[in-house]
Amino acid sequence: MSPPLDEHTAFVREAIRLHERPLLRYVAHLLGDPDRARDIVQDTFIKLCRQTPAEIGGHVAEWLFTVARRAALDVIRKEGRMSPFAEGQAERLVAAEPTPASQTETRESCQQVLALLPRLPHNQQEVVRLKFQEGFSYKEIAAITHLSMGNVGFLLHTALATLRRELTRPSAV
Amino acid sequence: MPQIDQNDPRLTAYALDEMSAADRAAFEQLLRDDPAARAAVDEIRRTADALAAALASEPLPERSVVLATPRPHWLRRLVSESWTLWLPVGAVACFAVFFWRVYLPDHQRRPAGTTNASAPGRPAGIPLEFADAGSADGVGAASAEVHPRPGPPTGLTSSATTLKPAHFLTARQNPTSQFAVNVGTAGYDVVRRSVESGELPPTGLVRIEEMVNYFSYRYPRPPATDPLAVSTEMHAAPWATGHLLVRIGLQGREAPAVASAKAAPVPAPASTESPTAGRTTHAARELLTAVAADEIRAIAARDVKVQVDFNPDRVLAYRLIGYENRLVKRDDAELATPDNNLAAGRSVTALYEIIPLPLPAPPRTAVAAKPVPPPTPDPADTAAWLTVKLRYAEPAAPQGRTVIVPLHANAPADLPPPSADFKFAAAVAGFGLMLQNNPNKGTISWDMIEELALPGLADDSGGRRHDFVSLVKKARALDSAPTPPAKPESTPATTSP
Repeated sequence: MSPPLDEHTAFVREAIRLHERPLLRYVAHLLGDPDRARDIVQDTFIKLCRQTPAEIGGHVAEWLFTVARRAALDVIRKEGRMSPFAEGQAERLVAAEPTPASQTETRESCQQVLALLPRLPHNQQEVVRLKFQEGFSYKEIAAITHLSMGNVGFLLHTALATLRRELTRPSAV
Repeated sequence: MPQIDQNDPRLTAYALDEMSAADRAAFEQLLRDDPAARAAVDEIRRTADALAAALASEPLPERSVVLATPRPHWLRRLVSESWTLWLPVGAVACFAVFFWRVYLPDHQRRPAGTTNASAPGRPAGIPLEFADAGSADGVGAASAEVHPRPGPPTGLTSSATTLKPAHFLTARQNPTSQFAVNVGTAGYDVVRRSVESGELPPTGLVRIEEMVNYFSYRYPRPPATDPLAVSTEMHAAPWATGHLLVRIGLQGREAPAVASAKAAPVPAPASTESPTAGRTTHAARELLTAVAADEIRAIAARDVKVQVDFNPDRVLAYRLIGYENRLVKRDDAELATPDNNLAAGRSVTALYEIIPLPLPAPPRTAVAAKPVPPPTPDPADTAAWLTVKLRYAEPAAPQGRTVIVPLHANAPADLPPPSADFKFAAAVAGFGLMLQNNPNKGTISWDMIEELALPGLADDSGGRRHDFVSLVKKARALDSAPTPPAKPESTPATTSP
């Protein structure tokens, strides 16, 4: 049975309050299109209204990101917006030799990191954002992206290795 | 000889604490004999930290962007909550203001150089774009050092640290000033709590704009067609001979009746669902419509930007009273964005002190035979002392509107006497100037504050104005005491003169 309306309204409100903007950001990055992202986020919350808190089981964020991602991928597939999350791209990016820690410290700055991020394959960018921007665990990311946890771990490891290498390169951005 | 390959994803899983306890213990065994792997873990952590910091510095999309498009409005930030959060008075608000003012600036990541202390008169001097997330300033950066913990102000010794009062700006060089409408009121409770605990508040914590906006004023209600009304009033400044005081008031319309909830339907997306699912979709829409209607009712106008253009032909210089170092963001940390919305039924008050240009000598009748018409190409414009320009959007409308309200008034000598309401606002501002020990406080005195407040007491529905006067009396007593009665237990009270 569905909970009382007030309770349900509060549930939706809280979800909007907490997750609307992160979800917008995530979907906008997936699509590269903030307008379409808004449509998708909106539809996602409409779908949330049809759920009871019990059905979501306390995993509201995970649920929202999963549903929104699916919708975003539909858009990408239908409209051929980009090559979505080309699997296998990651294999080409393998960490090189480690570099001294002292060198890394001087190189690490937000601008540099943000400038490097778009150079990663889409699938790595996505898990990086889910992990380090939205704070999801490997397990949650696996659920959202329908990847295995091993795959998530591999993508993150590879992405971090690439970023570390780029950040410590003398001629880095 | 390294045992763990650098490409082993377990290094990252371990560094990010994503291993089960058993895996973790086993992996730590391997790490023990593998300095290279341990170094790799350290570097992964460093990179992860840098990455998290960089990603955290990316702005979240604005909710108002959602609103700015002709779409359903239910995605909007619950503005009603952010307002009502600040309306309750008392300890909660007092604690809250310390939290926002003292704790958060210390813990929030901010762009360098955004503190205001080095920018006198910044609120008036900021560029044309209205203060927004990017210019949110570091309120209380200095006071964070003084008051490391939330709690009551600890004493006068900690004053004189934070705020630099706004200086006068010349209208010729800085004809444009702006102020935010999302002004809080908790600053008044800081003052009250401090005074009632027996100490004057530290000057750096006195927020005049929040004190002034703690009170409601008799502004004209907007006509039915408008979400808000602008009113202006100008009189001689009580504390500075020859200066003028301008009060600008925005009054949001009252929340419409619940019946208008149907005004914001959520349009149906192309749906491929079964009829049964369609019904639930319909129910979902109803729910969202209700949420949206709630939010829309709570807002009179959104994205309100107020700009005041001073006429340099009449105004030599001006200053915005209060707003010295305002935290434009005052929202949940994770959602921090300026909601420049005017809540339904709410008013916002800003006070400007003006130094008028000396008037040119009036044309003498004796030389009327040789008329020299004054150069007034557009009397309506040149005669205005200032022009309030307001941009806003209605909650449910995608398009913004602009309202231009010039302030015409007589020459300073011919101004009518101020209303009791105006005087009360001046009293509150004067109280703030006094507590700040503001260099531009002029001739403000405790007597003057009480005298200004008195007529306004006739119109005091909530009792706040009477409380104000008794607060002023208490502060006055504290101020006239030879020493701050910080620890009166140890010595008998010998403070009477």
